[in-house]
Amino acid sequence: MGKQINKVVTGTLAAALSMSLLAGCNKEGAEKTSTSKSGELSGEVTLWTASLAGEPFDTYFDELEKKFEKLHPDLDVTIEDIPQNEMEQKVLTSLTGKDVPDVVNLNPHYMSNIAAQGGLLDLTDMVSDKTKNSFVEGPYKSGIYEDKLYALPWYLTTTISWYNGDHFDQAGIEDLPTTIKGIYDTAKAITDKTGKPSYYPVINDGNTIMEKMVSLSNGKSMVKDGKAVFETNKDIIDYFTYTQKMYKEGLIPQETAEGSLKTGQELFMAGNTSFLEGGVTFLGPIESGAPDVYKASKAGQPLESESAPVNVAVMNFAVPAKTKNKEAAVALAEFVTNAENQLEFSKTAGTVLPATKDSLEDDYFKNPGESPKALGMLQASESLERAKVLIPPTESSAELRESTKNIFVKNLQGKLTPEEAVKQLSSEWNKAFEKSDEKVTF
Amino acid sequence: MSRGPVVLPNAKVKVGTQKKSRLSMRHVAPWFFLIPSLLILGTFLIIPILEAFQWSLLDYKIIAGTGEFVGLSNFKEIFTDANFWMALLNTFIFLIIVLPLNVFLPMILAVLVNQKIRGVSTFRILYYLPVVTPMVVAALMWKMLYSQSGIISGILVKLGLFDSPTNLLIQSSTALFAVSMITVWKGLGYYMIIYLAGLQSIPKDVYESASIDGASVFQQFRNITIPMLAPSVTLVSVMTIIAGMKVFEEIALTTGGGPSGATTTLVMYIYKKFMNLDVSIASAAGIVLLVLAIGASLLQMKLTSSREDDLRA
Repeated sequence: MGKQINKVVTGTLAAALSMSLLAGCNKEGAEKTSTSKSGELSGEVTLWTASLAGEPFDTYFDELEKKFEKLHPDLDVTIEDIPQNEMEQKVLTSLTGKDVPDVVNLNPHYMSNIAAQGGLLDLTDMVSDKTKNSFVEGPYKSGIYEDKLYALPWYLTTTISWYNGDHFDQAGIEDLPTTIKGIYDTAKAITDKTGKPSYYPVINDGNTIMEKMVSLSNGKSMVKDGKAVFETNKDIIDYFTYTQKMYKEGLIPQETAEGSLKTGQELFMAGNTSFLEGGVTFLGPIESGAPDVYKASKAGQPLESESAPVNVAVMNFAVPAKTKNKEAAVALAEFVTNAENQLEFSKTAGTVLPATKDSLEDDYFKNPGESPKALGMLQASESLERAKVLIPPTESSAELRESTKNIFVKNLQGKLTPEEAVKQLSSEWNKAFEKSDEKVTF
Repeated sequence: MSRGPVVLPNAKVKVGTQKKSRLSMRHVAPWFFLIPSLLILGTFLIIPILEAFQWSLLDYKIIAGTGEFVGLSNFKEIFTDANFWMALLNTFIFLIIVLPLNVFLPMILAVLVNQKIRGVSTFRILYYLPVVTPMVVAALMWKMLYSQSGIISGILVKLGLFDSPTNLLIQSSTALFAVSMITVWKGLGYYMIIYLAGLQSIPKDVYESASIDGASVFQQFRNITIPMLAPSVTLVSVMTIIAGMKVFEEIALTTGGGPSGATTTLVMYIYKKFMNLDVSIASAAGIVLLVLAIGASLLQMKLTSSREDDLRA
């Protein structure tokens, strides 16, 4: 009897676990289809922004929400902000569950990762040609993956250079360098005067180095049909050679190996580094955290030839494929990214550029004022003329970034010779493209 | 004339029924108490493990929720991935650094704070503070201490170990060691409490007898304290091995697995793969980690229990 009961209890538990497992395996769930009554948009629609909480953004988004709801009285819009560093986890969790946002702010590389798994709505035929043509070409292309439009560009930052004017004055340097040898000479002169490392190459997760390599190649292809062709590129080998030399000679701070722009910001704020490249947003924390450094900060064009292409970092809006209200989601994405709202957003943020052609014609970008931040905006809008998304969204982008970061740091710290590093990098990129079977060219 | 016991015709049946009934209750009741634990364990441990195993055999697209069966090819892929082997090696080196320090440093601390001296409770609280310090705070603090202009860098230059100020978290050769020190610091108080409980269960008269026999403090520590603490050593070792194999927070918050993958451990490797949506590869690596963790713990327990027997003999 006891044995029988044991068997019954064990069996019941096993059955319960199996049922739960089966339930857990069922990813389909009960999805509601989009609702639209006689052409009028209705229901609920949720939009996620990334790290834009607090003022002045709260007021901006409240107004935006009201304006859209006025246009579509049967729609209820919810705008929710997600911290940038949690965005990828949050998006992934929501897309694998049922509680998906209808519109989400993503960067192009993560967008391509999700699009590759069918997680995003194909907007190619859902967005009008008028809307498509309203965007600046480069940023618009960043929303395209495998010839399909998956996202609309929202705000942009282009790479510019930032430098501590006082340090440059101390070293008697008037012009920003435009070659890698020039960067070395400038860094050496400043470090000799200040006694501190002066140049901070931002690595991030490897993307800025990849972009820098494309800029330095200045028109020469880096990858042709999924094969890396930069192994003998002199400009890239020079870049690896000089950064290694600068690190060894203490012209680059050791913290560079960590890679983040944030660390560069902290060093710049403390006067422990003198020049670097970044977006206009770079100066935000410095204005409040170190007013003296802010006053001495100056903006310039990226540290390369004026004819070289410059990267544009795009934040865009995509619509998850699981959205319950497709029409409303697309309408909201179009509304948020239209010229009028983008211009207003750029003015609210004060450190970003809009992705629409009309907004960029506004006097706000032509004559921004005299503050360091405003001058940065001016440089950014100037560099936008030659700006492109230098690394196209690919399925292999995560592998490319990781290998670039690892190998660049190894080179920086002298674990590889520049030639070995470039060769190894080329081989790693080839492996990644081979794995994903992508025939990209850039 | 001897008389055998009087057996009533139905007595056997009656006794048997009572015995069976009691046995049944005794068998069934524990299951009711176990149900909540089994449900929680099943939901949060067994099902995820089974699901990870299932994903490891598929080319799983987590967003689409579908995947083709690919057999063991995900395992083949990780075993041919140099980054996986580097992560495995880093995990192993991390354990080699952390295990002896986590076993012996807290033991010494526990012996020290087990003394009857004034203010000893304050020391116990102070040593326990790192345990309750959130990892984010601890990581930021250690990042500052390790920075090029930080105190540790200064001390290393003064000791002549480095020619110029050096951030240990940034150098490939020292980063893993630097991170492991954060783990050791964070676990010190917790393991000290385990040893303290072990120490307080050792009868005082054992030490008194040894003292009367002329044993020195060191001899008492070596021949009484260490053997009597053997169960605590086993517990601390197993806990350290398991915690060391799944180390993540301190690495994610200080080095992010860098520089050049020098601090990428197995869990960090899994996390990166998962965040890149390579969930099948991440799951296969997770299964390898699970097997290694079980294997290492069993081996450690076997070795330590045989050592305990030797010490007690």
